[in-house]
Amino acid sequence: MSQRLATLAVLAALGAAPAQALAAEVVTVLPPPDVEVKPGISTRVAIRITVKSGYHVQANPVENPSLIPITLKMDPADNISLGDPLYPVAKRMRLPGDTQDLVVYDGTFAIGLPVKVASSATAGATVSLTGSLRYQACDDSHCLFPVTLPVALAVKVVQR
Amino acid sequence: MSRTATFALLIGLLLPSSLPAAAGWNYRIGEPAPEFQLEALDGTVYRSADLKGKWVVASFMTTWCPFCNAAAPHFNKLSQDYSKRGVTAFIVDVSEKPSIVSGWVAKLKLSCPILLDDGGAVTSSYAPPPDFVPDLKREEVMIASFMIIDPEGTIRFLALNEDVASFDARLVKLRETLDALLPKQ
Repeated sequence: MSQRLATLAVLAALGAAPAQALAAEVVTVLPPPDVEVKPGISTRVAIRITVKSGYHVQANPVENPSLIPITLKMDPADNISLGDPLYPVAKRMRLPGDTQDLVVYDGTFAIGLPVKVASSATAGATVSLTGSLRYQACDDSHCLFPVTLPVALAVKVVQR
Repeated sequence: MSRTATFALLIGLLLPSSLPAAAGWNYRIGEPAPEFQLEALDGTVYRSADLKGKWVVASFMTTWCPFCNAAAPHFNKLSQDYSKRGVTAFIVDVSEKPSIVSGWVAKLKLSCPILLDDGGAVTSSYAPPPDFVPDLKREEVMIASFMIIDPEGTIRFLALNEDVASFDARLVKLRETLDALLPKQ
């Protein structure tokens, strides 16, 4: 093998690849596959979020208003009323030299979404909900640009 | 295959892509600082050519970055302390609306110049090459970094976060390096 080839091998292993938009890959949104809601009865749907190992996202609410809290926003839909999302308790961490804690989520957690189908809704119908999840992620050394991911959820109306 | 080539291949295959951060890298140090022209939040236009002959300290920040929020007040204090010694220190805000940056500056009571890098092209031009944390955009690599440029326009210091434990919110290393580089008072 020539020295040039060896150098190329080293460069390849060092990862001289074009930059990827990592921020959008840090979080995975996992809505439940089979959501069944009875007309007139409120149900809390758990939207599972998984944060890539080594990363965290800013919690909701944040304690420093300059930071960007993870935020679930669902679009209005006919015959369905949606409550304010319910965010889990955050973990606390503090950067060396800082005077204020950060509140973050990592690993897998769930955001609760209160869903209520109108009493007049027909059993057997499926309602598609759409929305978005905005977040800002960091690891121990770098912060990624804020990202907004699409969220889709299907709710099936079942008999009371 | 020569012994040297075999060794090079072995090292190349074993090194993780993020190793430069852990191996005492010195990206950009000794290189000419890229030319730039940026408008500051107060409307003043800053050109790198006008800064020749001065010591310059720059930090690349965003309002939403926790590292930046922790370090910005200390950077502002550094700016005040070293202006007496002829140092020009400024923050380059990366790709944010001026209205958002203005609110952040008011909240943190920052008095140092805030240059607006709309689109992040200038910030990217100062970043290490893609072999340093290749998954990140070059602007992302530079967020919460600190740089010293000498009067000849050469980069003399670049601090990028290596890990949370070594994060230097109080900018101790930056001050020590400045003290070592600046002419004795």
